[in-house]
Amino acid sequence: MVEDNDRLIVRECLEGSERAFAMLVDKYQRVVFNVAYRMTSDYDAAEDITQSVFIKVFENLRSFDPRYRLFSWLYRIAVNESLNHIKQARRNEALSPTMASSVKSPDQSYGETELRHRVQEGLMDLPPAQRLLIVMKHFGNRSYKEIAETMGISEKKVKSRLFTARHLLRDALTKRGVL
Amino acid sequence: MIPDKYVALMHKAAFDGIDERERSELDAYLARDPEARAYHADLLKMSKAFAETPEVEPPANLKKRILNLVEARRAELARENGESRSKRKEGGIVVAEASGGRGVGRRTGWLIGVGVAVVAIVLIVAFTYQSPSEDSTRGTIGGAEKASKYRAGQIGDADVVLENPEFQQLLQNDQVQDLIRSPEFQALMSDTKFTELLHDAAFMALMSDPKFTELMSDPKMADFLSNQKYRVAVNSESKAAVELLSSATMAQMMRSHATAMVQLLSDARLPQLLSDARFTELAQQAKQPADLKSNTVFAAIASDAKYAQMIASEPKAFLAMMASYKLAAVMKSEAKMFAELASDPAVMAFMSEPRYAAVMASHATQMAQVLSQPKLAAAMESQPRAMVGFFSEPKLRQAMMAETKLPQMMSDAAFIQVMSEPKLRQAFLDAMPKMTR
Repeated sequence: MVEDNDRLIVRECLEGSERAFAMLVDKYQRVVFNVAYRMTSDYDAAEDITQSVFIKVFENLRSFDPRYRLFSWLYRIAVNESLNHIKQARRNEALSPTMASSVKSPDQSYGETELRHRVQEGLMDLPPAQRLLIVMKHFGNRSYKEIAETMGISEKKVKSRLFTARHLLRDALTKRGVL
Repeated sequence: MIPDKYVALMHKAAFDGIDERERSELDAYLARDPEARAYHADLLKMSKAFAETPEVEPPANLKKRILNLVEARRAELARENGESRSKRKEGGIVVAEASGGRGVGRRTGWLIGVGVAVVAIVLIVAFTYQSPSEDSTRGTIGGAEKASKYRAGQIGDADVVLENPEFQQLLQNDQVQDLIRSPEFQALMSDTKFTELLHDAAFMALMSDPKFTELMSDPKMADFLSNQKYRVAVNSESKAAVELLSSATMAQMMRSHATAMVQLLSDARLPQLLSDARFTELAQQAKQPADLKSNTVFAAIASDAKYAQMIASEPKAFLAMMASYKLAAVMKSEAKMFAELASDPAVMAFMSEPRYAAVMASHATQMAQVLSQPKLAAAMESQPRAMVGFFSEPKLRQAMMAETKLPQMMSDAAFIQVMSEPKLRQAFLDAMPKMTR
């Protein structure tokens, strides 16, 4: 039912309906924003990434294959944009450490609890590829199959890499006194 | 060492769920291995922590911003496809009208104008650059030969000194060739004022600065110059670039602040900024250069020594401000609101106030941070008229300008947090009409 609804939205978007695109944004902005935020730990960057994702969706909707789920396609764009942002931020950091240090911690501004703050910090200790697995599985509630499709690897590999990612996260959280 | 089988089972138990048989098997193992019990306990705590971490709430106006950007892109694509603008919604924000109307805020245009001018300088200098070392090989080489036939008479072959093979390769690039062939580029090259500028001693000193030489030989710069998006930006704004470059103000600024210009041009972030799609989009929105130039207030700002001083004293901060994606995003997605604000005489007067420029000069980075606050944009957006009223109060303006610590205060995290408190903001906005009455 949900997928049928998405197909309808996509069709209307392709016909130029602004209302349909607004519905699409309404439906998926939250999930995209959350992936971006968990990956970058930067509220403002998450906003930028979310905007870029939807611009890309708008520009490439014609290339979307309706046999697949819209959500998976959109999620993959969000993942790629987040990883690109991280790469870019690293380059910028190398160029200008002072600018990079000006990025505020979102938790300072948005009042997450200490525990949540530490979990997010622990997450940021992981390499992006492993962080992504944790984000997709545990914050995005994606199935192994969906993660495998998004990352282009087998489900078995997803599971085994998730073990490693959780191991690392456990160490990071232990270091921060969460565990 | 816990056997892999039980590690897998513990993960499954903590994060996916296990059946009765697996549960019994795991429990039996846990009962005899304390290391496994500790590990399992940690996994359960992690699982709990994940479950207790709520979703992050996106900004309230995110959807609107996205839709504005999409609308801008839609209009841009329509323009590219030569379609009529009739499809655009009445009152749609985003893209400045081609003629008349307010278009994008003048301030945006002002920033972009400088950005585009810098781009143009880089390109033009690339074609007219004179090496400081006189023993270098002179003459037209490779692509330069092609380039010279499109140039006007004022600049002789001797002006073209190209030693870098990568640069020669760049000159062969079709896109660069297109750019050189463009009427606007040719117009610039044949402009008397511009050639005067090129032959100005200070300008020549700027061009022969080793930092600049280094910049021009950098392969990244070649990549950047051949970047299509950049080409589009320069092409679409070349008229504006010609006007800006040939203006006395620009010449004066370059003469008086040669070192600063070199610093600005050689900053590694500049090509990055200029080749960024978002900057290009912004640049493409900067319409009405003539209108801008003829605007007396804009002219006053541009010719104000403090403005030049701002760039001269803080070129990196200025660049950082321009490079702020957040600032660009705010200006772009709130284009209508910015246009209203910026075209208001009171705001223009405020911006032309020398003390404003002085404050900007000393605190450009902080100001960029303040301006890029989405919450500030939201506040301005909700009450643009009140905001204009607020700015148009002379006493208030004087008081604000007299306080040089103002930007510091405004960029303080605690201040921003307080100001973004909805109730306070509302109270402030409610009181604004009374304050400015």
